[in-house]
Amino acid sequence: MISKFRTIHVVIIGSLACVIVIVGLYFLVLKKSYERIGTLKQQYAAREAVANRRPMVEAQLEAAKQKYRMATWKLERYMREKMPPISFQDRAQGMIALWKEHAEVLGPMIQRWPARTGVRLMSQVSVPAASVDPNAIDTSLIAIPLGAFRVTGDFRTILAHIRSWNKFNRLVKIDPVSVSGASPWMSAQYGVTVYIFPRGETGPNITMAGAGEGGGISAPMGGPPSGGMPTEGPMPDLPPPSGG
Amino acid sequence: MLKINLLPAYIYAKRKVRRVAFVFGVLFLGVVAGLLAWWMMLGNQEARLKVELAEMDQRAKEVEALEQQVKAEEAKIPPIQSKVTFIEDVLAYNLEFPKIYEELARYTYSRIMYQSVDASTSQLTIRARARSVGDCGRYLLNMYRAGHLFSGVTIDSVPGWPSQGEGGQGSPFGFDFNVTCTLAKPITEPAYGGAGGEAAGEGVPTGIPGTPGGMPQEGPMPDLPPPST
Repeated sequence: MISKFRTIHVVIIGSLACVIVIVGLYFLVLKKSYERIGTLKQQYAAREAVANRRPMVEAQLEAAKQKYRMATWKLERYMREKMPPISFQDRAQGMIALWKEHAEVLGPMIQRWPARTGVRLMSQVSVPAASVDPNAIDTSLIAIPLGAFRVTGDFRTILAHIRSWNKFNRLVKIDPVSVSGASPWMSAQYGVTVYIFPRGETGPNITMAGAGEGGGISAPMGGPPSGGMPTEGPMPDLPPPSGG
Repeated sequence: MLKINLLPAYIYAKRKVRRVAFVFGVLFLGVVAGLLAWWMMLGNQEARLKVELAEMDQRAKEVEALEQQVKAEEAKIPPIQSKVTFIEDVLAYNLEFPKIYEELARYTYSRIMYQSVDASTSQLTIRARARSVGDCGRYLLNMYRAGHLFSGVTIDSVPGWPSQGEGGQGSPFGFDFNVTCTLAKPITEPAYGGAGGEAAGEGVPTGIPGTPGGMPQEGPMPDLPPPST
């Protein structure tokens, strides 16, 4: 068999065989390896870019925590200084606490304040009655309008009195102040609104409260709720309703 | 001695072909071995890259978890911050009107008496008394200089001659006039933007019955600074 081949035949066959092997192995095996390696490198670069953000993300996390801590500290301070301990996690309990705030606490506090700041209160302080429907109270922010106040004093004392509402034990908004008369018998008139942020989350509605028993917050102005309600101590534990 | 090879060429052709075939055989095996070695090297590189990718992926997942924590922390802030902002806005709002009244007193000519000042978030309405039109003029010029406080100051009228009579508000003791001062920076009432909507505080009418009298005399006209821009 070999005697039939000449040298040129062997060279051609050998060269062809080498070329075929090279081309075949390259396209069938090596090229696929290169593609896989290229994909892996791309994935690596993408994940490396994410991993390299670590210092920046850690700084952002620390900044967010710091901002949250600062906001929480401020809110806790204001809640401690300005807000009564009213919570609507149990809506019924919260409503009763609000009744007490309206009927027993806020009025005397407000009444005493002008005299402490050197002016004379010439108008009547009246606090409207609170809502009797626990489901109707807007627990995000409770606004209690107290109407118009009229005080007398000299000019500087009146201005100091207006400023002093910021030191009052509740959050009070003073509407635009109008003045008249001559100092030291000057008279000032302004509107007062008390704001209360309840503490904690709001609980579910009280299904037994029904609908429309007392309406919303703007109940008619009046005195405290008449008799029957205990003013001291926690609500009694009621027995569960009997079945059947 | 001369050597002459008298053997024909075909005698050595077979050997020559064998040698060439051997060379190409070795070459072929060498090519195959080289390619296989190359392939194994790529395989090792691929395995190494997979290990590195797994490590980098783990680190990237930690960073992504941190980013989720950042979002969670940032989401906790707005409900608290909105309450804090509202409280601080109310406290700042309460200080605005005393500030305005103090500034008004600074720019009020001492010979003018105020009978009443009604305030709103955008303007002051003043009922004033002047002894003469000159005093009223000085007062108005002074108020024009309070550019940082008011964007507009207008009075309703001054008396003609004779100064007594209806509509002229004039008398030997002076005349009354109304002044309307528009605040340069209207005061914005604070509003709570948290869950549940804004607070519905009831507004209070700012008009009050005027009584005779006037604003306190603050002494001679102070040297006023030039209006701030």
